[in-house]
Amino acid sequence: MEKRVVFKGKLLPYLLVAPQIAVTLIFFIWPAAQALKQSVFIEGAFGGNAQFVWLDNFIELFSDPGYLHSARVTVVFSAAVTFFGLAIALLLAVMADRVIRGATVYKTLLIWPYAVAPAVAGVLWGFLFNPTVGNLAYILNKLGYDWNYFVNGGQALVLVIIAACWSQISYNFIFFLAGLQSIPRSLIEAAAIDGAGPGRRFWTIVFPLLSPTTFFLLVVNVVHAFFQTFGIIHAVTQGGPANATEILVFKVYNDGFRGLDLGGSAAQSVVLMIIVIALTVLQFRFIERRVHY
Amino acid sequence: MAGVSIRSVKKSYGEIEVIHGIDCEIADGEFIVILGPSGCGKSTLLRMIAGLEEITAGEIAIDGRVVNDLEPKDRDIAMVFQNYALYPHMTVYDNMAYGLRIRGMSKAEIDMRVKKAAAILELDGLLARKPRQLSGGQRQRVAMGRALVREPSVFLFDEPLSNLDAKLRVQMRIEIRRLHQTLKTTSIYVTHDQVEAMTLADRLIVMNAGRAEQIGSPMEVYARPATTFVAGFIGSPAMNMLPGRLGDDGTVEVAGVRLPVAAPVAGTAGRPVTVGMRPEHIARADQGTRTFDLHVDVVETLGADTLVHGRIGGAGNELIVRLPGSVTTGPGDVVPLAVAPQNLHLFDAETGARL
Ligand SMILES: Nc1ncnc2c1ncn2[C@@H]1O[C@H](COP(=O)(O)OP(=O)(O)OP(=O)(O)O)[C@@H](O)[C@H]1O
Ligand SMILES: [Mg+2]
Repeated sequence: MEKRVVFKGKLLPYLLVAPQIAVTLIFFIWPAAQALKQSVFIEGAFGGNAQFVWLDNFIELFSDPGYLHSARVTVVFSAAVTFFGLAIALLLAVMADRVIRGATVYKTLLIWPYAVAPAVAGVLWGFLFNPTVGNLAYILNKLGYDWNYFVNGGQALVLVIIAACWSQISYNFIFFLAGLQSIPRSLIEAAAIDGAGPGRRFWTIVFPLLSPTTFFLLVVNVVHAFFQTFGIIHAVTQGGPANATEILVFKVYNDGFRGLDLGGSAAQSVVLMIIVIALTVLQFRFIERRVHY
Repeated sequence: MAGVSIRSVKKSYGEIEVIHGIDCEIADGEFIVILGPSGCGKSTLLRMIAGLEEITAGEIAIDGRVVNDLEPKDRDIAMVFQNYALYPHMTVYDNMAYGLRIRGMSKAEIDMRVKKAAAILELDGLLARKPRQLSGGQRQRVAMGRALVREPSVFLFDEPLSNLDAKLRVQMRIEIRRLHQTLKTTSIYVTHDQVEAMTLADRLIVMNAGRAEQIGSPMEVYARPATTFVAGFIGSPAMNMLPGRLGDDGTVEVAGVRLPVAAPVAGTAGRPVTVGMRPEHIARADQGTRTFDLHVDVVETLGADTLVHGRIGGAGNELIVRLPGSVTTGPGDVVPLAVAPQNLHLFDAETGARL
């Protein structure tokens, strides 16, 4: 059935999409264009005399060990956040799928963390692990583990990974649970009669049938880890200690607004934009061709 | 191959008991059909045999071994599901090979078995397809194939044909019968379709509300239904059931007419009974041999037969009669009818049990 409304005049339809277009233009296209333009100029130290430098900013970027370090940190951070976020959420969803009594309470509690803003989540975890006042830090130290994320870069990275994972787990959990519940019970039963134990049933039947969900979440989580964890980093470590947790988005901010290297920062933004576009294209192409098994 | 023993099996979901104790000895190689209306517990019973549902009380034994605590995979059974439950991400070949691979069978053996089943079920050209690329009938065959390749000692079927159209259902029914004749594997088949049940079964278990009302061969169940429920459930159109009273001299009185009974039942005269007559056992008679008159309301012409609906003696006693197609009659007519004494079924008016 065709659900299409045909407008008589030309004005009304344009009027209806105008707000959307305006928002996109003002808050997305215009800044993006600015960043693109900015990325091929070098700004004078006191503003004003901008100088056109072709792709020098990019060349400098990729030969800057600081930037390459930040890229490596981002890869480790994103991979860890995505992997643990997906794995733990899947585990919880598989268990929630089996719970019969109190299932609603269990599910609701698992979904709550998603309602907490990333920055707040960051503060929360930072506080829990605070070397002087944090409960978890206290326990770790009591267990003989020398915990101080203010000076230990590895520990700081682990901490921001935990904080970034935490809220993402809830989001992934909802999708996995919905995916699990859409798998007909009789499939699992047929596999059980065919002789497959629980582990084998999971890996040969359930997991393949969840793969569209998993792929969708994979892209969403990578995007999240790349771009939406700024608040967490900002609240917990400020990129430190010694740039150990300085992921690419945070470096854009650091270099641009603190270091006032507008050209370099813009070039970094452009690189990030290209990554986001690539991820989006990947996802759309997959979803378009997505065969339901 | 193996027999199946069901001993006082009960099933409760929480407080609610849905199966109230069923006993049945199924012989090796027998084709048993569990028949009953929706919600009577057919699937539940089958799933208990499969091991998909816990047995609340009683025992189920397959090949003499009590299986109550065995996993489905250790019971040596295969099951065909109503919705087929094919693995959607695997090809037809892999669907059939899945269970064999898990059992660690050699590649050559798997290939041989799958090819053999595919040949029997005419799936040869479809082995590389995914289930979604198959028609309903083909999916059904794959589901059968998946059970077949396992060569189990018991086949379980849960309404395997109910998603097919009428024509395909008849065709598959015959095919299942043929398969059973060659393989002779013990089979338990759940359906609510009485034609399917009658044509497939060596023996029927007629279930109602969690109880086995009668267990017997199709002919037995048809000729001597144990209860009014069975009598009404088997046969189409359903058996006519009229209220009556026992007379003193081996007769029964229905709608003001006295009918002789073949085997007089014990009991005081005047005892209320339910009298059953199958539409196909009532014949047209002439004035001399007639036992009662039918005042015709509606006539349904089926070609070979004519179904005549009408009333006998008074307002309440409706009756359906199956007469040969050659009989012509119409609303308002009065048709003289007769029924042979051996074709009368007497049931207790209260319990519904056969007398
Ligand atoms: N998981 C369950 N929890 C509670 N009650 C159940 C459950 N499964 C089945 N029942 C009840 O058990 C009874 C028997 O169900 P069952 O599925 O065996 O019926 P059936 O004879 O197969 O019916 P149908 O022909 O509709 O498939 C029904 O009254 C049903 O409501
Ligand atoms: Mg059922």
